[in-house]
Amino acid sequence: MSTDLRSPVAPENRMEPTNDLRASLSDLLDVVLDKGVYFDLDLVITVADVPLIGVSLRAAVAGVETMLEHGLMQGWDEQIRGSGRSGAEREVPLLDGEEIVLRMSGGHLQEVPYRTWRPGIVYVTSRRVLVWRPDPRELLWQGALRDVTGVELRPEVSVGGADRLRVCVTTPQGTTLLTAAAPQRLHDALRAGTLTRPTGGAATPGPVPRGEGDDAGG
Amino acid sequence: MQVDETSLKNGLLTLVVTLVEVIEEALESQAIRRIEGGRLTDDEQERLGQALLDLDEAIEQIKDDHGLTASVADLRRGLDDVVGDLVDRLANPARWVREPGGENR
Repeated sequence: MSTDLRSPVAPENRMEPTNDLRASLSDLLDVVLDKGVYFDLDLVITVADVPLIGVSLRAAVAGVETMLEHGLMQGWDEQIRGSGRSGAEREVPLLDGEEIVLRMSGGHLQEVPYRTWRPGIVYVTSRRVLVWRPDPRELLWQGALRDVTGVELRPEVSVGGADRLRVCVTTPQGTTLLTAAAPQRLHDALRAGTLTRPTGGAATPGPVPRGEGDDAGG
Repeated sequence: MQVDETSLKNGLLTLVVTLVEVIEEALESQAIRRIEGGRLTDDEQERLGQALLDLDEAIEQIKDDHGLTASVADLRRGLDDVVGDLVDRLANPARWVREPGGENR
């Protein structure tokens, strides 16, 4: 670089006020949703001057708050919010006397019908370890702590090439891989839960709410 | 360019996660508007906040699980640049049209 400091600044480098709007994608979306967009599209596809396919599209896209300000979607808003009012339905279904020991986001590796990670919230309770997805509600995987015969941490290389610790839970149904925000804490909680389980038949797990746990292990 | 299964998977996942992340941010700002709008009950506000928090954690978790944090950030930067140029073009059309015959930026 041999820039002569005394040389006059080139015209395009001279500092002048400009209206430089560096907007990110999120900013753009925010503005669009806040203001609202109305599309009015008529499209006719013709071949050899013969119209063949017609599209007539009217669409309004906006944040619901904007919609309400313009008097749109009031019925939907009340109806949908009314249907979701029972908040208890979103909670994880627990057995009688079952207590949550640990809750963190995570997931489990589904083996059948295809192999995929299913994200949810991992719970360790006083009796079970389960992966729960609140929306749409589904118990993705569960195992009774008294059935757990092995818990170990297993390092794995992820798709992106990063190292991750997975928690391996072995039950009579098979071995399931769990992932969690804090694998070490999940591992420790599971270890503690499975080692201090009450001996004898006192802790028979009640009827499990759904049977997915049985086939998830493969 | 070599396309193997891993890089394909990586690219697709990055794309999907990035889109979800952008949508999640839009949802978050709309949630703030709704809460400020004053129509939601306390219970609804709390549920909304918790659900968005869970969603945020889930996305972070997915990124961690698949090692996508860096590639998602890259893609977001790229998208932001595209949007930034677009908005800039719309706001300052004069700067993008140099003298006729001159090269565009």
